[in-house]
Amino acid sequence: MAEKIIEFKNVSYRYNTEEEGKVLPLALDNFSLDISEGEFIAVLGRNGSGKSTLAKLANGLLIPESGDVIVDGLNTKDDENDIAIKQIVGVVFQNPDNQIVATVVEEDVAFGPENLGIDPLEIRERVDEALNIVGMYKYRLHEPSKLSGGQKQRIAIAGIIAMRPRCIILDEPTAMLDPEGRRDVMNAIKNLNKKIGITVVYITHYMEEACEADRVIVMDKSKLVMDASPREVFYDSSKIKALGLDVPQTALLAEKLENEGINLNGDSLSVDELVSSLDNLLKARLD
Amino acid sequence: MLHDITIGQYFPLNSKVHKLDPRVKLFYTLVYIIMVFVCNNFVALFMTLLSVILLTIFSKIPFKTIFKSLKPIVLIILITSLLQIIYVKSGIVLIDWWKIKITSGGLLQALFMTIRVSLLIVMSSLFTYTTSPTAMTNGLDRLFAPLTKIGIDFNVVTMIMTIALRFIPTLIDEVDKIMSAQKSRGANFESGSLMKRTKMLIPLFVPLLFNSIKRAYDLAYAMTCRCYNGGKGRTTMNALKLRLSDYIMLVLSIAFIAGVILLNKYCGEYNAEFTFGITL
Amino acid sequence: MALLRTENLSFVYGEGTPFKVKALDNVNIEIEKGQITALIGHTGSGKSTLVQHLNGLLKPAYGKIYLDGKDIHSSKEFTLDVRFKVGLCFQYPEYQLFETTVYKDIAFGPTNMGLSTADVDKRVRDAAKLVGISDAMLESHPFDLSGGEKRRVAIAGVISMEPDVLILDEPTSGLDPQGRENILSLIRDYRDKTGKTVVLVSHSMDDVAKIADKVIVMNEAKVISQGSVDEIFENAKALYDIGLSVPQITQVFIKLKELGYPVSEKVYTVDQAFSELQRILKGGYADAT
Repeated sequence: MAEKIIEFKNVSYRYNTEEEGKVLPLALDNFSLDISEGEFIAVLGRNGSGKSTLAKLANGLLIPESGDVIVDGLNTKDDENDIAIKQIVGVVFQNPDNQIVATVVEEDVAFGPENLGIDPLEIRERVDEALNIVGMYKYRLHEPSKLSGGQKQRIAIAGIIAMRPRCIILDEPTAMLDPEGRRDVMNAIKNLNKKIGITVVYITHYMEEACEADRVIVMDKSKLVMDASPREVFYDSSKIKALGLDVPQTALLAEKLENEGINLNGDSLSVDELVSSLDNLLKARLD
Repeated sequence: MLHDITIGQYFPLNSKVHKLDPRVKLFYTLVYIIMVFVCNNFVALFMTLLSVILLTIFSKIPFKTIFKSLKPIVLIILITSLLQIIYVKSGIVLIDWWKIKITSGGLLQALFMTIRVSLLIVMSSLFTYTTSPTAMTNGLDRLFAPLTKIGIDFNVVTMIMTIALRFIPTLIDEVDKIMSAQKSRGANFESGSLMKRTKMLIPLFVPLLFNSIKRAYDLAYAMTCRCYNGGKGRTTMNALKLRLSDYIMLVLSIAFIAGVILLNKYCGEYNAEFTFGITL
Repeated sequence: MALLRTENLSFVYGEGTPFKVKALDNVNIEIEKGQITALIGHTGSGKSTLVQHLNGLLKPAYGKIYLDGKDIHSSKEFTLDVRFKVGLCFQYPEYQLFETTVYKDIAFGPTNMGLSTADVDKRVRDAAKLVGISDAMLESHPFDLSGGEKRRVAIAGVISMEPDVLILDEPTSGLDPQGRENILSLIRDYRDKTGKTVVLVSHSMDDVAKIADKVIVMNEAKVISQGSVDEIFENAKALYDIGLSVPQITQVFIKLKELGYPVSEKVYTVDQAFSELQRILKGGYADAT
């Protein structure tokens, strides 16, 4: 069993409101979750179900009202753990425009390591490496405002990677991107997880993106309602619909074939998986 | 389109002047401006003019562009010259007609002033043409870094400048978008009474303000995630380092100061009355 | 005759500067009355520039735009009128709300048209009904609403001008699956109830396949194909290759075809996929080839 990197222990959180006498409902309600090193977790749930709150609690941007968030043994409640926690868990947000600080790509990626007081020569090394991982090295001297949304989002990811975190949380990073940008960002993230072994928590509204994860958690009304493999989560199409989500077409097709007595062996959720299991099926039947 | 507007007036080229350390360029610009005021005769002034021409040639910036920077002040120069010509009465009387009396002293003084003011503008334009806003911010940051030791945190100021530079194009884009959207709903930003036009700013500024506040929150979260804590203990990847060309430029700056002082002294004041009588 | 039509439309951004970009290159499209036409293409393909021409916000460098047979730039008055006749709802319209109540925001367009208070009131209420905004919600502050509700208020703000053509730029972007579904069915209902013309700008074939009657595909400032959803999916791989998102199931069939199976690319629903598989399984190779 891999080491736990983030633990949510009965966490509740509530946003403050300026209006007197008005108390907002809990944004996260008695939420518990363990995230292990190296996992690729997709987080699903309709708007307002508490997904973004979860992301901000995970590295101490928000502090629980009750319960604890433990990052690699460090409680986010303790002020002195702040910098250490943010180095372990990085967060990438939805709007790429609002998280880029500098006017030159490479200087933006250097921003995190510079804040940590790292030696300039090592920063250079980290920046080049991070830009290569997301495939943006050749844009290192460009001005961020002149890049596409997908490119900007990959710069934002590189900015986090340059801090060498062990876990990266992405809060709907593809929501504002076009299909091409979405593909590029998704590939960069898969790369991070599979090749470099960084733990990924990926919040999304796109079901086909969730199919790429090892584990899917579903949130509804501030609570965790499902936690299983993508195949198990999408198996129950009526339940998924009731949670305001969609069932990927791939899962629907597999279900339909199953009803007709045609069983596809193995996982068949991502496009590639379905293609290879259909390939096997057709080969067997047509020969 | 709106977002093609460049900030300041940086003119991106690959020249020796562009590559100079921003601190050195800032230093030279300041020295130059002071020296333009110190000049008290045409010989010194001519040398100052020559040095800026040389610098322009090295910067590869077209002279046409340089002249353009003078456009906004042409009127001011004309009016002040006219006043000088009319009111300064020294030297030989050239024209004496009705109530107007034009003297050689007046003409020379107007010429002196015109060159002087133009040089000031040309030099500061040359500085902004050859120094990107980012380089300028970097330069200021390094230049004022020692102030941290006496408790003045200049890092915060340069951070604000960087963020402003970074977000100006984004906000221009946003204004463009909101304006188009409201125009599509019949908003008219171009005509109508002053009252009406002022009222039309509400549909533009309310969304702009709200979106900017949201951006500010997002950015604050993103910066916190990247361990920004006000710049304490920060290092810089692209630390500025003086190179040979920078040292040469510093030596030239000093030579320039010496040159102006010597020329002032040995060529003499052209006319004591006009060198100190100038009002800018 | 087409309600809205362009003729050899071309447009260049930054003419005379080194940053010159050709945004529209000889575009000829026809938008039929009462249909939902989808305009698809990836970012920078020229689709947003095109729609800003359709309501007269941008003036073409070359070519003409006709609304009901009349050149929209034939007179200044008509150009202004076209802003109301061709209603354009921008991407993320909720970021353009500014009034203190939902009612006032929806009323902004009709008021600018110079209608009487009674007419404005009727239009606001009709538009609110069409997008599913309750009377109670009309009095609330737009900033107190959820993201999906704000989006609907913003759409109502354009519908209330009762345009002959309603253009929506990426109306589903950033929404969750349910929100996307809601907006799409709202658009379909609007067309069915009012019989008006709709243009839907999108980069997602998933959304478009569900509701469009006609699809226009743009790439690099040009129209590369136009036709029914079925016709466009005949060449689904080309859509995928120019960076558009095609339904997952279509991607599966494109790949199966590449593997040498005699399948069609024209598959975008689960039912189509199922029957296509059945056809192959039953008929074997002999039938299909």
